[in-house]
Amino acid sequence: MKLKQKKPTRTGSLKLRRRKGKTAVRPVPGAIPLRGRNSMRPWTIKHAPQPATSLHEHIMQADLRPGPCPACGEDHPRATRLHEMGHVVWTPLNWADRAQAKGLEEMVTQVCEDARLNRRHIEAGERVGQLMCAEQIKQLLMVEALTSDIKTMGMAAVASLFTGDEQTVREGLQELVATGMLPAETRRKVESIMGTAGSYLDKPTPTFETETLNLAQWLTRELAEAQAEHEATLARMGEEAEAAREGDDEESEEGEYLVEKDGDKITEVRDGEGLWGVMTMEYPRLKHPNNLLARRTVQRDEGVLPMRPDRVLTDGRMFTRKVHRAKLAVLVDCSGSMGWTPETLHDFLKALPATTVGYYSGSYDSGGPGVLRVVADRGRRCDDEYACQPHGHGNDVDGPALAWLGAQKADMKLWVSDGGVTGAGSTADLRRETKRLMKAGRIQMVPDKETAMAVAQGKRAFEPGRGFHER
Amino acid sequence: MKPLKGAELWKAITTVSPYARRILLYGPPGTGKSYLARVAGVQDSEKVYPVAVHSDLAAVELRGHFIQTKDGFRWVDGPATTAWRNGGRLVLDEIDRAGDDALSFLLGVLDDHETAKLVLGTTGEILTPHPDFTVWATMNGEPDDLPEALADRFPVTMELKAPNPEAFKSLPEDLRRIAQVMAEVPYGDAGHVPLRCFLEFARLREHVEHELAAQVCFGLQAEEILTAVRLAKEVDKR
Repeated sequence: MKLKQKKPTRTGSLKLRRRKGKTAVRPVPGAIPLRGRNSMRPWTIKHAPQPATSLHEHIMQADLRPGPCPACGEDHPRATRLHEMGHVVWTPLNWADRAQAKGLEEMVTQVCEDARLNRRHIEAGERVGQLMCAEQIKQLLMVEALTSDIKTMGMAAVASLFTGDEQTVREGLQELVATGMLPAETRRKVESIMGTAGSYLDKPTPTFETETLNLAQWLTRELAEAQAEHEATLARMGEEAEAAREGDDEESEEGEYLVEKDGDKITEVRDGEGLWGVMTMEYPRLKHPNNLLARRTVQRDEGVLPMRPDRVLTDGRMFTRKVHRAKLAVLVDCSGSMGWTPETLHDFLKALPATTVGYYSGSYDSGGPGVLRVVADRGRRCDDEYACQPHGHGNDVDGPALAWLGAQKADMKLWVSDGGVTGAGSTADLRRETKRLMKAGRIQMVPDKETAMAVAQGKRAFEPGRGFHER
Repeated sequence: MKPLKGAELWKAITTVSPYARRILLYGPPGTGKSYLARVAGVQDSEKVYPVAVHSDLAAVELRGHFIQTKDGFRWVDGPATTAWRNGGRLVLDEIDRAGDDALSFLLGVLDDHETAKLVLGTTGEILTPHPDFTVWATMNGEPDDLPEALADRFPVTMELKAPNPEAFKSLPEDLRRIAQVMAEVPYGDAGHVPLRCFLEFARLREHVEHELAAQVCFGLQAEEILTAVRLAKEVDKR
C-alpha cells in the first residue's frame, strides 16, 4: 500500500507558530466583563510602539515585547499594557461623546482620563511604571520648550501623573530651566498644574463623570493661560536681552563671568558678541608614569577566551575580562591667579592616574594668542617645569580650549575655571559660545581641584539651584 | 446549515456518540479530544481500550500475541482484537503517528462492520466485529495528514478548536472567563494558554504563592493573567 506522505512543511510551521507565541506577551482585555456590551466578542491585539485602545472596535495595541526596555532597563511594555487594560476596566464606552457634549477637547479629556486611570491602578494595588524612557521624555519636553508648545507640555505632564514618569517630567522641566530653554515661570506654572491635578485626582475611586470631566474643564483653562503667560514671558525676556546687548558696548574689556556666582549656584547667564584668540597646542614629553594601580583585567570563572588555563587547578578563574575604567579629561584655566602648581597636579594624578590634563592661558591682550599644554595623558605626566602657566595671565582662548576638551574621548570632562571668559571685543557672544561648547561637549565646570576630584570620584554632584553638594 | 461550533458542536458530539461507530476528532492540543473519546456516551457496561499510537507501534500489540505458560504457549488478544471480539470502544490517540505495520492492521480493523473480517494468522480464527465495537481516534493535525485510505474509514470527523465550555465550570469562578478567552486564542499564537494550565494553576495556588504558581503555569503570560484577574474584580466597583 502506498502511504500518503505527510506535508513536510507542517512541523516547521507549527514550530514557527509556537516560537511566535513564546516571544510575545498578550494582554487579556477579553477577561474583563463589560457592562452592556457583547462581552465575549473577541479582541484584536496588535503590537505597536504607540499604545491605544478602541473600546468600540475591540482593538488594543500595545508593546507586546516581553521584558524590559533594552535602552534603559525599565519595563515600559508592561507599564503600557497595564495602563491600556485600565481603559477597558474604567473608561466608559461613550467617553468621547460625553466630552464633546461638554465642549471639551478630546485630547485634553484623554490625558485627564489617563491620569485618573493611573490613580485607579494604585487603588487597585498596582502602580503604572515608566511608560517611556527618561531620555525620550526629556527630549519631548525639550522639543515642546523649543517650539513653545506649552499646551502639549502641560498635557504630557498631567498624563504622567501617578506613573513612574512623573518624577522624570519634573526633572526634565528643571533641566530645561537650568539650560535656559524654558523660563522658570513656565516651569512653575506647569508644575503647579501637575500639583493641582494630582491633588484633585488623589481621592478614593475617582470617576469619569465627575473627576475626569471636571479636571478636563479646568485643565483647558489652565493650559490656555499657561500658553499665554509663556508667550508673554518670552516677549519680556527678548526685550531684556535687547537692552542688555545695547549695554554691552559700554562694558569694560576685562571680561565677564560666564555665570554670576552666588556661592556655587548658577543664577543667570547673559549675552553679547566677541572673538577668541588663536590657540597653539603644546605637547611636552610625558616622562613620568602616574603609577596606575588599578588592574586592567580581572579573572572570571565564566567567559569566552580561556587566557589562564593554569588557574583551572586552583580557583577555576581561567577567563580574562577587560575592566572598563572611567576616563577623565580635565582642562585647567591658568589665567590670573588660577592654575595648578606641580604639587596640585601630583595630588590629582595620584588619585586619578588615568586622566588627561590640559593647561591653558592667553596673553592677557584681548584676543591675543594663547597656548594649551597637555601635561598628562595615558597614565603619564610631563616634567614639573612644564606644569605651570603655559603662556600669559589672560584667558583669550577659552573657546578653542573648550573645543579641545569637548573632543576628548572621556567619560567625564571637567573644566576647572572661575567661569570668566575673555576675547577680542565684546565678551557677551563669547559667553554664549562658551555655553554652547560646554553643552555640546558635555563639559562640567568646577571651581577648584578639590571639587574636581570629588566630582570625578562621584563624591559630589552638581544640581541646579543647589550647586555642588555631597552625595 | 451553519457549521457547528462552540457549545453546539459539543452537544452534537455527545448526542451522536452512543450511535456513531467510527469518529475522528482533530484539533489543537488541550481541547479535550482524548478525554472526550474516552468518556463521551460510554455506557456503564461498555469497556474502553485506549491505545497511544506511535511510529514504533507494532500490529501485534494491537492484534495480540502468544505468551509462554507452563503448558506451552497461549494466545492473548490485543486491545483491538478484544474490543472487536467482545464489543467496546477502541480509542486510538494520535492516530496520525501510526507506522506502516500498525497502519496496515488498522485499515482492516476499521472496515465497515458489514464486510469486515479479521483473520488471526497464527490460529486461523476468523473474526467479525461485535455489533458494539466502536473506534474513536484523535489527532492534532488535519485529516489531510492521514493516508487517504485511513481517513476514508472515519465517516464522522469533527474538529475541536476550543475546549468544551462546560469544562471551564470546573475552574474557580475568577479564572473561568479568562481561561475561556485565552484557550480560544489560536494554538501557537501569542496569548494561547490551554485549559489544563489554568486547572493546574487553580490547584497550585492553594499551596504556594499566587505569583509563583502563575509563573510556573503561564510563563511569560503570568503577569498579564494576574493583572486581568485582578482588574476583573474591579469591574464591580465602577
